[in-house]
Amino acid sequence: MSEFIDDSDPFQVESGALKPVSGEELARQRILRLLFTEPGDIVHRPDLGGGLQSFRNKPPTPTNTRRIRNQAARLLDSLDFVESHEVEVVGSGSAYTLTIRAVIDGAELMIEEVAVG
Amino acid sequence: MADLLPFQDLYDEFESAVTADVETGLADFSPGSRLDAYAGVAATAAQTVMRWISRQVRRVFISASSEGDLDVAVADRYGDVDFLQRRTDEDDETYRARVLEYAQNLGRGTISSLDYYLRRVRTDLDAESVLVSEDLDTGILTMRATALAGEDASSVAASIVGDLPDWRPAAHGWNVIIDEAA
Repeated sequence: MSEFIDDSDPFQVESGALKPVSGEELARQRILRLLFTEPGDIVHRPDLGGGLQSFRNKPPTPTNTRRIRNQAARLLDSLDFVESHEVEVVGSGSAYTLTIRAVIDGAELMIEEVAVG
Repeated sequence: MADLLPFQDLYDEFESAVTADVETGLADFSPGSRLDAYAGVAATAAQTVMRWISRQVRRVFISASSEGDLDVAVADRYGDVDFLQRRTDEDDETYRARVLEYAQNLGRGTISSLDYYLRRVRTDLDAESVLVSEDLDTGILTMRATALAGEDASSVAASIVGDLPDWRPAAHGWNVIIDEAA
């Protein structure tokens, strides 16, 4: 059965129960979830989410790169558990790669090379 | 409608049901989390179902009610059983409507002729004349204006009445009070 369990699924099953996450992994999931949620995806929070998926297949112009970086930074600002952060966006071909360094509870959390789109 | 649970109560109900089971270890209801999304969907669905059931109950109640039931419903909602008077339409079907004596034979679902007329009066009336009051039962408008020095009060009154919209409902009248110039 274990071969059918996707390790990236936060709801993976462990000994018949849901496996919760905490600490650094919880913070990482919260950040990525906020960035990649499309506004309107959550029925009772129509404005929530960064909507970075909308940059899929858009040319990696300096303007688009800057917009992604600003959008990500703005969303990270809104998270009260993030003390400080740096966002780096690299565009190549029709894809962007996002790298986030955030300080949470005094410790640095690095989220590397997340593909946008 | 007042008895239907608001969205937040339903959301809280979902949250407390999930967090009450400590063995699941599920507690992350931060905005945007999966549990937050599920709670929102559950609360929205519950609210929609409650509204639908409420509509059905009201529909069944009214269609199956006796005269006494309707009296109770009207008194319950408006506090006075006479607020909606019992009437009979041209097909001899009983219905209830607010007390609008001046409405006469207007059909249901339309504004009354006097109501329409009053809207026109409020829109069209000359700024120098002021609508003081309107008696909805009798259809009497009371207006007040000040006569300028040397002006005849009756001609001022005639001028104001002349400014009223041409079309007037049948049961309708007016009083014009003219104040003398200081």
